[in-house]
Amino acid sequence: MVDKKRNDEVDPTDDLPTDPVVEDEAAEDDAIAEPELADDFIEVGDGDEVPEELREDRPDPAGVPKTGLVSEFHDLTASQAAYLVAHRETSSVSRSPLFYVTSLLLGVAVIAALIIGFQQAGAGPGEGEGSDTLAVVGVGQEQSDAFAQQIGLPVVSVEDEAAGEAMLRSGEAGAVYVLDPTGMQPASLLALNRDPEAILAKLNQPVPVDYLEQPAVAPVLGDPVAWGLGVVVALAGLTLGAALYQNLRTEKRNRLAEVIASTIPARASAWGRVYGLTLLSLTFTLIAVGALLVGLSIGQQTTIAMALLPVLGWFALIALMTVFIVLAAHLWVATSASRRVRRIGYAAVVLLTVGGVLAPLVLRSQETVLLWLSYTPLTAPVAMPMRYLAGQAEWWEGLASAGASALVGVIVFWLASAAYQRTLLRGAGRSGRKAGISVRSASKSSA
Amino acid sequence: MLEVKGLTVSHGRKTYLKDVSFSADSGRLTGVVGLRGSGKTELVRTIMGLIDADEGTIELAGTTLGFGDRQNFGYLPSERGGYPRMKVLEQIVYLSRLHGMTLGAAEKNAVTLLARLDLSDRAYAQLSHLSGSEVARVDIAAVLASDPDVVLLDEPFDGLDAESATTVFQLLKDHADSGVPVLFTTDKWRLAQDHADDLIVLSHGRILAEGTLDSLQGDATTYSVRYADAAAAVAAVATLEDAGATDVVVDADTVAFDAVDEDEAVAAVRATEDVRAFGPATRDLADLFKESV
Repeated sequence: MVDKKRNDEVDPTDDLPTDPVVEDEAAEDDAIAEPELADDFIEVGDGDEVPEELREDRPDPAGVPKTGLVSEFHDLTASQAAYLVAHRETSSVSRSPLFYVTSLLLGVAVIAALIIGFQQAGAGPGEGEGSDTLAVVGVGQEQSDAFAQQIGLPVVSVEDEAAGEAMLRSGEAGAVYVLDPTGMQPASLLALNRDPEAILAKLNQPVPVDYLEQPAVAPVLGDPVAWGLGVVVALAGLTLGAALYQNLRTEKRNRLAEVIASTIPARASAWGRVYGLTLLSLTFTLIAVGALLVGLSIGQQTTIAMALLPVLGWFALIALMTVFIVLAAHLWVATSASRRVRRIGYAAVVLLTVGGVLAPLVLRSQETVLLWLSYTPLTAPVAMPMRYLAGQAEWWEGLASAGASALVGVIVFWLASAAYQRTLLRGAGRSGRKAGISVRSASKSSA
Repeated sequence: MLEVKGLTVSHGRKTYLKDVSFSADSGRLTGVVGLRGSGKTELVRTIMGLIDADEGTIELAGTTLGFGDRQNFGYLPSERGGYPRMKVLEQIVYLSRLHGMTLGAAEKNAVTLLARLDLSDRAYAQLSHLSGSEVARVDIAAVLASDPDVVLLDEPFDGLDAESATTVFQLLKDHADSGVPVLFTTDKWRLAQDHADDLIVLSHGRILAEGTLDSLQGDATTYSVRYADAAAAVAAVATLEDAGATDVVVDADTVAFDAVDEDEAVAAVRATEDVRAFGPATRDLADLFKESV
């Protein structure tokens, strides 16, 4: 048995009294007051040092502030401050019911566009004159006539592939049937920029299709897709813009703007909220594009889906720049101290956004106008994909259009940021008077 | 120590602050007391650098303040609310991190302060779901969570019940004890005189009086005597005036008067009859303000 107090081996009989018990109260009291300690018991005084391994891991009570607060800081750079603001804005908006409703609306809009497109495609080919004429290379007219009778379509014989391409470009033929002279490879079809659906339907075996130009989507499906893209841009820009506007007004009303102005540069605050929500708009784009591609795949339109991929890629890029412009414009409008100016400005931004989306859809038949619109910010995210869908645009044009929108976005943001910085502290006072922003804070912000 | 020297703020023809000078010492609670429209909010906003002063300087520990020096000032505007859809804890952490506080420290401080302000169970509630008193306490927590070097609170007790106000005062006192100047504005005279270490009485943009409550009350030159009845009180007036008492005022069975010192007051009262109670008349901050105006 080990006595923890003595810390050495003891005889169990030690606890038993060896002498008769004496009824001595005084002695008993003394025993209680001064318990008898073993000779080898070491009493640790207050002044003795506690061994390191026995010390508890507790901070020195004298060093702990009464507030109980921790004081750990790091140098907050402008980009870190902007990130904090961006994170707050995106977290706030992405949890709002408006965000969920908009996302749902987008999904529904895309599905509706697909259904309309499929229905119209089923109602008639609409491929234009000459689209059901098949040009065959390297066969005589007699064989062509026999082939025409076999498939039930007009067939013309051409001398070589170049002649067939000329017919395709002039619209005299919908496809060119190319036979491999060696007979080693299967026959293939050459089309201008979209599948010759009527001809493919008559051929009794699947034939691979090559395109002379960048593949295009038929207008019957392309138009609803363009409308869908327009809805994405308008909803993303206006929904997130409204949230940005509302948050900014809340900050002014509650004077949180003053707290922010006294802690971080105003430009970082402006940049954080615009770039954060711009990135959040990608969520809308992803939802719409995802729904579109899944819908096309379910509808067994994988060819169209593949043809759409680059178009959607360019759309995503240009739409991102456009939403940035719309959000910067919202920031600009929200900074105004005058309610009347804010209302007019807000209405103007909404009209410009919606007008920008509608213009290419309304003017789609005019190719030159569409060309200009595809480089104009606000109209570009719909106009440029429409040109891609129609096979009218070169690959680099999307990049140029995105660049133009980005340039305009930088200018609008610069103006909005300057206005935000200038008017950050205005119009929020209980007294209603205008307070100019401190020169010191302004210079810090612009640094 | 935060020192305000010769601060003058005007806009157009209206002057909001006129040659305001005072100091808020580290480790002390300084209360700026005044009626609404006396310039309290303008004073705090000017100290925060949100309004440019026409004249005057603001110094912290002897150094004139620049923008960067205010980065870790804890500032509570007079309006309440914060971000209505944001959760309480997130809001406090966000505002602390804008001061450059690390995430871990900001979270720890937020939890600590919410516990002290009896809001632990509301940490994950949206601000819009809180009562007015709770929102006011969250705003206080948001200010203190960054462990600021200077605390400036504009009307911090608006919306707080008496019990919460006492809790907040204790919190502010603890913060001041850590060596930080804590300055608050209020139009609640009683609250300020009960809790502030130093008082500044502001009226129409000017400082009427400043110092501790004792120093503001000065030498107790006003005394109050209660007599057996109103007739005895009236009868004592002439005797008191003959003994050197001035500004003698009768109110029912009580007579108030001024005397040069306590001995003279005692001598004057002894010359009268039917005395039931006698002592220095206590004047609170509101009385002092009325006298000053």
